[in-house]
Amino acid sequence: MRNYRIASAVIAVGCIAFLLLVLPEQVDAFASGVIRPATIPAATLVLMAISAMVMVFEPMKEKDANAEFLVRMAFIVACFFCALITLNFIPFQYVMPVFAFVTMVQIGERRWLWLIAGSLVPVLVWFLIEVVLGRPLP
Amino acid sequence: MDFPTIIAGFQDALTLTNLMFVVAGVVLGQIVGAMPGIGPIMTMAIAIPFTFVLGPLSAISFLVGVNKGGLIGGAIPAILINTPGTPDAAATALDGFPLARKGKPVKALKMALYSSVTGDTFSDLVLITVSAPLAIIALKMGPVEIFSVMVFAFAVISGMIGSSVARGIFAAALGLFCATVGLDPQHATPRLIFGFFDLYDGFPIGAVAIGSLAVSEILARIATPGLASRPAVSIPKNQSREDRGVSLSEYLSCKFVLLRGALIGTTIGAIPGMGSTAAAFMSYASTKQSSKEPEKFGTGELKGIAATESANSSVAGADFIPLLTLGLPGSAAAAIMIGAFIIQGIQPGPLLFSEQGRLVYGMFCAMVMANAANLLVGLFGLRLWSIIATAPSSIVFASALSLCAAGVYIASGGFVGIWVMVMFAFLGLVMMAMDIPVVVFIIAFFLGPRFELSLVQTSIILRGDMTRLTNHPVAILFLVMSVLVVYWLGFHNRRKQQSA
Repeated sequence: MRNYRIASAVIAVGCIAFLLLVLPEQVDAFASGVIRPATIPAATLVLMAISAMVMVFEPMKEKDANAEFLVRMAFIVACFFCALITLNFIPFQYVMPVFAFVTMVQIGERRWLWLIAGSLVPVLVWFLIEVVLGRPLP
Repeated sequence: MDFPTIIAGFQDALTLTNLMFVVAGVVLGQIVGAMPGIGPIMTMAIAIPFTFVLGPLSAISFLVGVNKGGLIGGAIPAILINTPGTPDAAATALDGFPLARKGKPVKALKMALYSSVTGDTFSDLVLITVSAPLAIIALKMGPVEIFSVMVFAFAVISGMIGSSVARGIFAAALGLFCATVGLDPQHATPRLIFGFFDLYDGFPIGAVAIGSLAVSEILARIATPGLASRPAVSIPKNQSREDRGVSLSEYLSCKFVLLRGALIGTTIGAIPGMGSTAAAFMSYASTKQSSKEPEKFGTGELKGIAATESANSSVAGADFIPLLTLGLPGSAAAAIMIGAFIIQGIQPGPLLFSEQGRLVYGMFCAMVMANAANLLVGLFGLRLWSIIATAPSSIVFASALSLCAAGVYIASGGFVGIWVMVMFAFLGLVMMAMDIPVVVFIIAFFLGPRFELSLVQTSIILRGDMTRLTNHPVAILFLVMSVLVVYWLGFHNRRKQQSA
């Protein structure tokens, strides 16, 4: 079975599970009104489940799952996550230059001039937003 | 309105001081419009206290300049790095970014500029000439009529679904589902917030648009091996003149697209609360449907850029129709303008034309001046922006991620927006991998809250009796048009399949 067919099946089951288990817990059951709070979310979940089931049987060109691409993606996402979590404790103007530097190195940039210039861009963003415009950044 | 008042208003506007404020506003608007999350609305809000010391016309001219400059500013990062500066520019990225990747960023930016100025000028002319009758029509658009416009919008957008109907329906349903997060419009009870009170107002629009369209694309490109030394946008050294600009024949070939976009934008802009994002996507979808080569859309088609930019820019002028004639703000920018009017001791509304006619016509003149300034400043500034985009991919994409995080933090007012952006970036990646149209998802998400609200209001007004619909001829007209559009799309697709 192809990957996208499995993914479509998982999505269809997920939609049904959400409809039966999560939606009743997350939406108040109002008895009044023509359109209740759960009406539109439930209707859209049913539509999503049906279309996902149709997708299981639809032909689609399988995309290459390049291992190097996936590893690089995982690394960059992990870095982005770390940077965003660190923003809770350390200000933007210190965290984002480091993140920009690490990202550029991970992309493959090795020219020092560009690495320094790229690391300074978030500082420039911070200066424009927080100092010039007076809007707070994390 | 007597002729001497019009002339006096124009004389007030055509001073060097006023021109300077218009140009300063346009320059500021273009710069901040290019920064995701800040945009012209926030800049106008920040600038309002500073305009207190200016005269009424200078203050309003400056804010008009910021608003109009921001319209083209938002398209700059959308075209160059696929990161829309403003939500309305999300549609511009669909064809602008692929054209920039083909090595024609200047061409894409110029087409966006010309279309934006064309659409904006069209709606300004409509505002100046027929604002009063249009406002009366717009005021007749009650919930039932707005619901029928929503149905019509979905009918038009169904043309963007593409080859797989199931995937298109899934994307639209997912967009509508995500739009239901937050307070229910009828009972005001929280839905699907999972204990996060910041989600009472739903997912922040900017975070969803930037996450699913921009961050997902940036992550995918960063993960592509061998990217570092390549420029984000490569412009060939000996690029021909036609690849660097938009020729008159190319511009004229888009004349009907521009006119359609301007008409859609002006109509949507005159209806309070509809918004420029809906106009941009509706114009894009209708242009794609009516094109003889719809497969070219999404690959860097000039008409795609023309359709979106003319529509979202023409909303800016049309926004002033209900504002000036009825005192109703049709958008956030119009609401801020009302604030500026009140600070200056002017009350917008039906009496504005008779009591402040000179100021109103001065403002109209300033709007036209702002369009000219937008064109001139844009022609100079866009070259500068396109040079920045030729920096190596490493620096451009690393910086773009920082910019996205900062922009979303400001626009949504906290960390929740950033996490929503990350969540929708993942969703965007999954949708890209499964060939589910992200654009359809975004459009449904944008239209969702308004659709549900008007559906609830319509169900209350009609009380389950469909015969009451006969009291709403405009709604019937739009519903019939929706059926015709869907029928035409089905017929068109079948004919295309048969000929293939």
